Amino acid sequence: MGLCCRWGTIFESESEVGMIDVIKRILDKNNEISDYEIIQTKTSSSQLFYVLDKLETNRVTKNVDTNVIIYHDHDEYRGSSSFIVNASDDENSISLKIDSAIAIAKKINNPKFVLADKTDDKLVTFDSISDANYNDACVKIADAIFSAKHDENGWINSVEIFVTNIEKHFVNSNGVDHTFNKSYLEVEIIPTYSNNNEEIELYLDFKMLELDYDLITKKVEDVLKQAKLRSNAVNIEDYMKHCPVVIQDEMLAMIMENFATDISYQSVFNKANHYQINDKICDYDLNITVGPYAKNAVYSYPFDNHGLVIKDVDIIKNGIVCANYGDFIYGQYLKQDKINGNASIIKVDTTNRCKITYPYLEICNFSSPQLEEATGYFGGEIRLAIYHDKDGNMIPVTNFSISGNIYHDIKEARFADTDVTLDYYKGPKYIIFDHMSVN
Amino acid sequence: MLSKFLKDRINIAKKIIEDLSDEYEYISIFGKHANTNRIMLNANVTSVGQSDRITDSEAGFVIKVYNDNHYSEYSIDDIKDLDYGQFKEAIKLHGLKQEYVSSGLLTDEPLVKSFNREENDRMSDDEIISSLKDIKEYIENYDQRIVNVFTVNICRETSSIFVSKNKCLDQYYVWNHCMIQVVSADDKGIKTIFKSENEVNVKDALKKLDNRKEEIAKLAIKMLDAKTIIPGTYDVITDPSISGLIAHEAFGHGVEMDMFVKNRAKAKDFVNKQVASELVNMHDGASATLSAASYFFDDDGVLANDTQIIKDGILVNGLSDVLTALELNKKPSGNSRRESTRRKAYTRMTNTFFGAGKDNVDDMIKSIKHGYYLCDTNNGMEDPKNWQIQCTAQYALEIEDGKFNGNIYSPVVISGYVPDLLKSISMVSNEVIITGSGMCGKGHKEWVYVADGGPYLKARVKLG
Repeated sequence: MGLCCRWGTIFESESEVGMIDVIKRILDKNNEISDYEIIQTKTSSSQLFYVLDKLETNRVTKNVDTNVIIYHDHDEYRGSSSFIVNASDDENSISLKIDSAIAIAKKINNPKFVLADKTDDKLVTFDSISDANYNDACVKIADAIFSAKHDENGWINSVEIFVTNIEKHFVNSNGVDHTFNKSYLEVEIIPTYSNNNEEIELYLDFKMLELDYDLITKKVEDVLKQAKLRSNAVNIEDYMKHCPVVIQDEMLAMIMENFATDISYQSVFNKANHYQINDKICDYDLNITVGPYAKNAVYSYPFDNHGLVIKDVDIIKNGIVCANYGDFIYGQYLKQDKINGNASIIKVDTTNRCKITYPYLEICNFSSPQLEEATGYFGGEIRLAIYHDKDGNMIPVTNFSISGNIYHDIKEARFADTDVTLDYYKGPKYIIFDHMSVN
Repeated sequence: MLSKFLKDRINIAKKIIEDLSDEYEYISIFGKHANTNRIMLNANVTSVGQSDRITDSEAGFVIKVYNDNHYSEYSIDDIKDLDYGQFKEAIKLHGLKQEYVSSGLLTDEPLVKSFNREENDRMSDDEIISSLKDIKEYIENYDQRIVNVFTVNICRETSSIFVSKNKCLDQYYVWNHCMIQVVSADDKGIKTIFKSENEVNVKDALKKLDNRKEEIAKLAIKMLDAKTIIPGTYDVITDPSISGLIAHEAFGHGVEMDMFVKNRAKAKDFVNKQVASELVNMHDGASATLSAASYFFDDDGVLANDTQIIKDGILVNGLSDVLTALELNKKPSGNSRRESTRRKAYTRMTNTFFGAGKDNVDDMIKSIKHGYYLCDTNNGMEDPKNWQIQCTAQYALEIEDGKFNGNIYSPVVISGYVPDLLKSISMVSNEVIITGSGMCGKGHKEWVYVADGGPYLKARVKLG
């Protein structure tokens, strides 16, 4: 493992390092611009694509994107317009884009707001992948995947490996200047199993901020075991439909993200929120904090797209909404005093935890989990679930759907007694709903 | 017309190919320059600017070579001043323990051609903002229960080039999306609806949207009474958007033949077999109709096609990218698509739709004793290996004794086994409508613009 501030070899040619300076120089000279923000993202990656266990394609990418937003104040209004600077641009075309953006911004009458100011706040730092050569890292990751043990009727049908480095650089006209970089792994694996009659498959996609080759192998072995279970899965029986339903992984993260999104400034400004400050979501001590980082949560970011240094904010405490959070501009529209930025990580805690008791229905793999923010509908078609009967026997079941309403069902939910970290979620490993519709 | 940036790079691409041809048996260069302007109005805020989504706005190249029994790609922002040594080193793999697919060399048939599809009489940003504002204010003022309205125009301009030893292609095309999202609320809760119109010319799309503003406002209010459907199996009529979603999910993904190569699609075993009611015909192709996924050549330099996938209920053809076609010994269908130059090309759908039938939609509704009229795509997902699908409609209207009874339900999830669904199709209307407001992912990533549609269909499906 290594510290995140390690990167800096591929893109540091004169022209690329100078691009922000060139843009700043042109912007600073222009009296018609009231303010500006520049966000530059440098991305590099190595990618491997396998068909069965054979390599079909390898790819290497090196790219830079620069997004510029200019602001123009007129009367009591502030107008803005944004444009992209890329390889097709030179100083002349950038100047033309700026002139065009000013012309548009002059005609936009949005309420006034200010941009982020320089502060002494420290950016959170964290470890991420530190291999010097991403091709080599990909090769080692492939070995970890293909070394997963499985029985002769199971196999890995396709694999895609991406090791990516992102370096973000933010500057604005108030002198804010932040940089940040991280590297992460994304793997997509299709495990398949044949039970003589038919082949079945599952889908596994996971990301890692820190490489753990043993964990990669274990994840592949686990999903191959799940594929075997699915190959033996039967259609759900009526008696299995009326027990507690255990939801984990992506659907769990989506549910918790929905509560956070609902009380974001943007949602409140757009009048799409269900909850107001002091509204009670549930009677137990559900606590949700949003922030910049959780260990091994790939979506960790120390600052947001307006250059705000993100800090932890408690948004739900003891089941009651206690704060809105989010976008700096929408926060100002809502006359908020202390705006903490667009946090990307959601941390959940509660004492309402238990060990699940038999019987229960454990949802392992959705076709595509659904959650509709407006109505609270959530659920979807299930590729694999396991019915744990009253004696602890496991019966794999498939081809059914579950549905519920998160705004109602959260009131009676219970949580796992252990925690997990997913891409943008840290909290209980699963959530238990007692009254979901199973069909 | 083709962007100056790409025009200036064509000769550079030819020179690189000439210089590296001795070393690599196959070499091609794909370049893309996309600009997408987005105008959005809501509540009291207007935003105008270039979309920063990578699918929308980028300038970049992919150099593809046949390299030691597999294909390697190098994705960079510019090919000017390409460092050959750095390129060769970057694509090398050291210590790989797995074998290569060894699919052989791609064909490279001679072709030199330019293509162009421009917007006529483009409106200024001011004029577009003014039109979007009029529509927004009409809907906002329609009823006090309408609490927010978003009106959006997204104008995508795409230039691309494909250069190999024998080919030199370039294209430029424009597509405009115009959308409305309405948030309505009362003491029972909050609802949202979404409608779109898509055309080459923004003027045409805005006109169509303007014509629908009263219908959209009424629907936003009606949605406040929406109930939850009782799960079960029902007779349904699908509107063209839901028909398109079914085409896309039920059979589109399953016939993306990169899935055949990986033995990931059940459809592989059903070529030339009955997979749907004999009333069903289905097409996909960038040139099959003019819509959101209409281009002239794909991201691997293959000309656009109209592929008939299902003919009278029989599965007759699949879709392919160049590597898939090579591995299956077939002619590529023009479906190689990349999310951006930073991503691999996969076999992807384009404009996917069911063909017209002979029935009248009023007769179809009258034929339902008890069922639902399913409207407006929300999202969908398919499991091509096991032929399970899941499609979500924004809402459904209840039909009793051949008439709407006034009840509305939302959202409504359609699920089931693909052949069961397609074989249950018993009536097909005589009109086809294609909408192009969506994006499609492969797995949970690789987003590209797609269009889908079809006629109204009568089928029997599981709803939840």
